[in-house]
Amino acid sequence: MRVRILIILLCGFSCSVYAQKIEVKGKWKINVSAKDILNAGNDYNTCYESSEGEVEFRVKNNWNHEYNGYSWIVYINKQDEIWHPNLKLSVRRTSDGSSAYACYSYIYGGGYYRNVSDRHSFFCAGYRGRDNVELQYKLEGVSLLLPVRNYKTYVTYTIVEY
Amino acid sequence: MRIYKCIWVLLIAFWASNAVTAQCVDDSYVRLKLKNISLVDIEPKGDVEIIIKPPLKAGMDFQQYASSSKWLNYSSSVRRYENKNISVSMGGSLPKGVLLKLKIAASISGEGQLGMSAGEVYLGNRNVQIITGIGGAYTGAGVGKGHKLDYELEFEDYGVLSQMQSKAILITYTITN
Repeated sequence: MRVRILIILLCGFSCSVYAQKIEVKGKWKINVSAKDILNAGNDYNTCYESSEGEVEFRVKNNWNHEYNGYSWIVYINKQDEIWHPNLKLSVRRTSDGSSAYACYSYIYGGGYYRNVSDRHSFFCAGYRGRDNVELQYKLEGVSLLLPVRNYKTYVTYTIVEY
Repeated sequence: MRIYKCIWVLLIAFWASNAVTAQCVDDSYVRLKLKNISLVDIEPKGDVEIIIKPPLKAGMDFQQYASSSKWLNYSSSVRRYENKNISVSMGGSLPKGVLLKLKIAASISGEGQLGMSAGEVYLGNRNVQIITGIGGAYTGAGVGKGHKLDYELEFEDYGVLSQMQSKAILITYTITN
């Protein structure tokens, strides 16, 4: 009986770890082909941008955490599956999103392109939950000089509350 | 009993550490698909006219004037360790006793693994390689970019030459793996 109680408690704790939770929706797929070359002899456009809101995130409050603050910071980094060092990925926030907390919620930072590297770096910060915060990606360094293959990297968003 | 105490202590420590700073992670991915590219172009557009005129004096060779040079532009992307070549072939036949020579200069512009020029080749109905070892590269587009091409007629056998008005031949450039 005691063991069962402990297991239930453990589950309860593990679910209520996060006062703020981040959920990221969407992905960006770029297909570059001969159509992107204006005339034979030219290179690709070296810079590609996703549409605004191609990817979006939401910050969700966990009601269990009355003991924690509602302020949060989002850090970004990338984890390469297959990537090329000449490819430079950046991300920016193109909307503030919305919030059920109205004027009690806010978001700041990330309004201009920030390089996404392998190291965690500050992206944006805010207070309380926010929905549909739109993001836009930019990829530079696309060239014919890169070997033909599929490149893929994961952009990781880490939310830290304080 | 001690085990339970330990578990309780661990749980409280776990809870306390998360109460101070908790973090949560989610991700999305970016995928770039690069395709194999092979584009070739000859600039400027239009025909090359080679005019043959009689010798100025007896004992001298025929005079020839080519209307313009051409420029070979290309864009190429390859898989690692792959190469491409550009070959040329001629459609139609030349007057008897005449050969058509193509001079291919090294590329004067561009970036990447640009191909090696064959220098001079005689054109025929079969494909002849004129640029080899092209990797991921681009020459630049337009006149004055890439490899300069010059056509020249060579008189192989004066004995069989005969007068004719004009003759058009088609020259095709192909880029292949």
